[in-house]
Amino acid sequence: MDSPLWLSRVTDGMRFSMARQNLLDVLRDVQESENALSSGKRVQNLSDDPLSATRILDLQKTLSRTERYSTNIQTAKRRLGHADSVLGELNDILNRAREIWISQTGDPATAQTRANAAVEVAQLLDQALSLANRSYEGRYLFSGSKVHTQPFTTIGTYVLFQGGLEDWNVPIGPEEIFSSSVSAEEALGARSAEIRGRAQLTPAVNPAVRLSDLNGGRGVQPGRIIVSDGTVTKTVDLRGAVDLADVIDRLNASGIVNAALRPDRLGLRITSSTGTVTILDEEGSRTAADLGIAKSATGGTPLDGEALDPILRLATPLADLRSGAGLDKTGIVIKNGDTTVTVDLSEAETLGDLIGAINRSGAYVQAELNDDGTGINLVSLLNGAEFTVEEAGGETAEQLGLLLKPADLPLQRLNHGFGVNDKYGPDFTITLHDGTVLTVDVSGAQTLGEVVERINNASGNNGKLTARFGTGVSLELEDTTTGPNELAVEPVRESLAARHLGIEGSTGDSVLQGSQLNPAGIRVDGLFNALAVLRDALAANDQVMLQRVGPALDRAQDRLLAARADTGTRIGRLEMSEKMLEGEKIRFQEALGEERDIDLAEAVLEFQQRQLRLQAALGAVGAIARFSLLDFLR
Amino acid sequence: MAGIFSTLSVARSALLAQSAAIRTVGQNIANADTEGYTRQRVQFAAARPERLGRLSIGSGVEVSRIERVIDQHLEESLRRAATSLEDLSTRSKVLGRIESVFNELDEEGIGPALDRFFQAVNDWSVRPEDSTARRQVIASADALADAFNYAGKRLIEIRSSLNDEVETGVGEINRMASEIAQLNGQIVEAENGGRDLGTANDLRDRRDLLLRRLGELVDLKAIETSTGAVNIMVNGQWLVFGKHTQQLETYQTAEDGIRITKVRMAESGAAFAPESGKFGALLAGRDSIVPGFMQDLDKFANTIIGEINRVHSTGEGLRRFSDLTGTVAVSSPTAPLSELQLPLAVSDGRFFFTVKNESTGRIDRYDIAVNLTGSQSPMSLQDLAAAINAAVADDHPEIEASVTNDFRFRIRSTESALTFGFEEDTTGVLAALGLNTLFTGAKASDMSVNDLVRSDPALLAAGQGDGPGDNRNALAILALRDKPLIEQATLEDWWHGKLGALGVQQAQAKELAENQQRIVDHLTNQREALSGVNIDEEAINLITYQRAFQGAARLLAVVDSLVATLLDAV
Repeated sequence: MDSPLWLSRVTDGMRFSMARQNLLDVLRDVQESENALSSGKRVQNLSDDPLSATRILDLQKTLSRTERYSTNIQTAKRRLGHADSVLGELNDILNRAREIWISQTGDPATAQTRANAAVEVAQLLDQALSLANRSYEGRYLFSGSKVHTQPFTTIGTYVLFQGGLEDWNVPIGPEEIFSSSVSAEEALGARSAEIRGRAQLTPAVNPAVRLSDLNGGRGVQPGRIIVSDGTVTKTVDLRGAVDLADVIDRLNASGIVNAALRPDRLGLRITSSTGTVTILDEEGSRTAADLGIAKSATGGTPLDGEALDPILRLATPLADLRSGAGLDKTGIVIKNGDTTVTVDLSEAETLGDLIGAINRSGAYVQAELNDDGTGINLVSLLNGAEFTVEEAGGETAEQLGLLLKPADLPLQRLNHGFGVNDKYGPDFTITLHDGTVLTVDVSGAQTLGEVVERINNASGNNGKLTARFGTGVSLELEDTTTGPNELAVEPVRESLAARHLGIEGSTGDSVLQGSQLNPAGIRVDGLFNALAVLRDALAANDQVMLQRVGPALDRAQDRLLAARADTGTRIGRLEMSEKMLEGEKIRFQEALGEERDIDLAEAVLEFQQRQLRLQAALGAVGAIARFSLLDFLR
Repeated sequence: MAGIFSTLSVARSALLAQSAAIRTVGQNIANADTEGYTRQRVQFAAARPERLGRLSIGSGVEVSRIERVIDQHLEESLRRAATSLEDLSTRSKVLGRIESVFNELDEEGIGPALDRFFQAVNDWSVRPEDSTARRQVIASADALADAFNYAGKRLIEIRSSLNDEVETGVGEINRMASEIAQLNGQIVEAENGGRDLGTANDLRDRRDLLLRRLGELVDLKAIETSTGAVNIMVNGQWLVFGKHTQQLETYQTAEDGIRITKVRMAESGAAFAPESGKFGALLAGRDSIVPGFMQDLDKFANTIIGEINRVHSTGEGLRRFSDLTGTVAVSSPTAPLSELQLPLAVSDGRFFFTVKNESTGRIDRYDIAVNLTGSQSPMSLQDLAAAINAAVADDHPEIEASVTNDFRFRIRSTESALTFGFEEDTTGVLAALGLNTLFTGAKASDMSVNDLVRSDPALLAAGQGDGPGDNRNALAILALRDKPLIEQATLEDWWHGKLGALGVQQAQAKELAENQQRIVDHLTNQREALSGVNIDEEAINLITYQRAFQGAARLLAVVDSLVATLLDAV
């Protein structure tokens, strides 16, 4: 307490009250020191040091989050490590299968050794199954988010995948998630390649379509647009609009234009009573442009917006597909291994219904929207089986783009998957009726369509011979020349290409009918398929089939090794993040300590000083009362 | 000729005057510790001289006046400083009490509870199928709700106790005002209506003390009139006028479920609203400081409840619903939803209502349009039920949406194989009606965990329909932590900002109060220096008066001997 020295008089009351005040001040300081010492904390209340206090709160929060991220990373590492060891064991199985394959392909092997080997491969398959069905901490490792569903089971001689493929995402940083699982598809090839719906299903729009689904999924950012009918100009606020109905309502509410869907339902149509409509975006907005209506129309022609190109959603009505023409609901036939199922779609109303019907059909096939939201894909879940899609009498499969046109067929799928063997250089010659000889080389051709092209473009052809597709999957050659020679296709240097393409031979007619090429269905390309095919080939003592298993084993192993490499990389990444987090944690702890904790030596020293002051103050109070002039009065 | 006896009367006057002075010294010493006492001083004056022919001869001494040693200007400064001190220290006390509710430095309270909730959500997102992780989420959500409830309750308690203090204050003000008015009467009488202005020392001391006390409560303006009465104005209204007072009267209102006592002037009926002083600070604390924090707290709770429920409402737990009743009861099933007091904001838009046949696995998805504000017929609760019923009627007449007797929303499946759920709600209506939510309530005091989820943790919506390991919804809830959800800040940053502001406010108030205390001490010392009693000084005075008294007594003895001499001569 400041002593006002200039005071003229010092009264008794003053002396006592000042002494009391001083004593209280010192006591408070001592108390403060005691608190700080006993709690070890420098800042105990927000108001002690508000700036420091908020920093402490932030640091405490950050520290606790960092600790959580560390824990998550450890969990992720354990999971990945476990999956990796399973993949390693699976690789051992593949190695053993390959040894068997090598020993049984050559000559010393007999039907008996192959039968024995088939039993061993069957055991290997069982082992692989139980490994792939391993669980860790109560979750199946290869079942995605269906953690309680056993991923692989056997159906007859096939292996069915019924797990999920979702990632086990764990948070490892603010807005950063990391997958702690290995996908069964990537590592084991649990699902087949897709039968891709090649058709763009281009749905028409309806008023319920969400703005965020338009323009191929890029959406429309609803803002403000300027609408004019040539005399009146108004601003229409589309902010907060969710679907096309909102857009139409708000445009109509402007009172100067009339908005509706175009008759073909691909976009919007806007008209006005004056016959003139102009629509612009307000500056900074591109709503009208995104809605395809940023233009003008005069003379009574309606303003027709651009196609809005919505993506497919499960709720999209089948009637809206194919630009509003709708989908044929006859259905499709799915053949998968021994199973043939006709999927009836007559009850389906939406894409979700269609996909649901296929998924529940019992054909072990999964339908899903493709990533771009433009069509649907089908994949098989049955390992070891072949899978095809056909029409059920209508045009459904065709409209969904699920049928492969012969031109698109890869050569390797022909002849039950044996493919077309060609030689380097010319593969076959074609002799025409007029004696012209065409030489054809099919090396490097991927599809049947490319082969047709090469025949038609063979040098010297000039339209004399036309190659085309015949009935089913076959080739047809038509010779337009006349002459004494037979139309003949002959191999060059023992190339098997002509035979495998079904056109080796000769005819006196103008048309040479090729034989059926029997394309194989789609197979799951992975570990279980390779093992199952090896087992079946050995059991059947089928040497041709056995030859084909080699590449399948290679591909299965490549997959597995790629998955292991990826897992290893991810564990490495996690370890790096973990180290960084540890470093951060230490820095945060240090910072927190600096902000929050007392410096013990300093605090003890201060406490002692304050105690001394207390003693002095107490002494002073005692001294004040000691003397008075009254003592000397007689 | 002045007789010898007149000298006796001189001695007598001296004896009387000195004993009056000694008595005043006695009074001063006796009141050395009396609060509000002003030291008194005796003013002597020579008595009117006697004419003695051409001479005038002194006729002794008389006490002209016993005066208070006081500086009225200093008194007023002191009173004003005390008003300000009481105002600041009361505000600081109120803020200190609020601060103690929100002191999160020892890792207790709302912020740490929110942190622990998000930690639990994190663990749950890593193991969404794990029942312990689920229970942990519910326990931490409970703890978070408790922390909010507790803080809300404490704020209400603080407000309620401030109200009690306001009530006490009214009594004190009334009592002091009455006493001052009474003293006014007595002083005017004692000082003969102003003719002997400033002589009623002890009455004035008492009145000055009361004025100072009243000044600590309210910022008042005191005007002394020529008759010696003091009139008091507060906030432009007179409180004391001469012998009259205008009493304060109270009436009760209620806010936040507690009693709020309003104060007004009994005669004018105007609201009594002093801007400063302890009473002013109590009113400010009760009516703006505490409610301000209450508002922030409620806003924080509402944002957390709303944002988490929004995400939760379109997620899916380990099982889907077959009978679900919203937790929110509305006031009317037929009025447009946008006009009802819903706990959370809703907007136009859509959501998907999904129906699953658990035995076949078939899922039907119905696109429900929700029109709440649109120009044509905004939806009521019944309309929403009708919209869902219309959508499912063809496929699933066994699913029925309805409004319960207490006006809650209910969806029920009478076919046991059929379950339902929700997806992609852009409207917030599901969360607002309490359908598939984690929290119930809308503010700090009524926040709670949805009983449905509490009793069945399987209903905690970790996923979006992809099996027990699906954690997309849990991750979405976790991601809320890093989103700018409240005034462009994340939840925790906003809250820490508020706490920091509280700390700064309190630190400032404390410092201001301390500074003001110094000013008051300074003024008090000055007043003491002038008006206080110094016993040593009084002792010196005492010696002076004692000597004078002794002198007068000696004079008496001399006169006595003179008279005796004369008598002897006779």
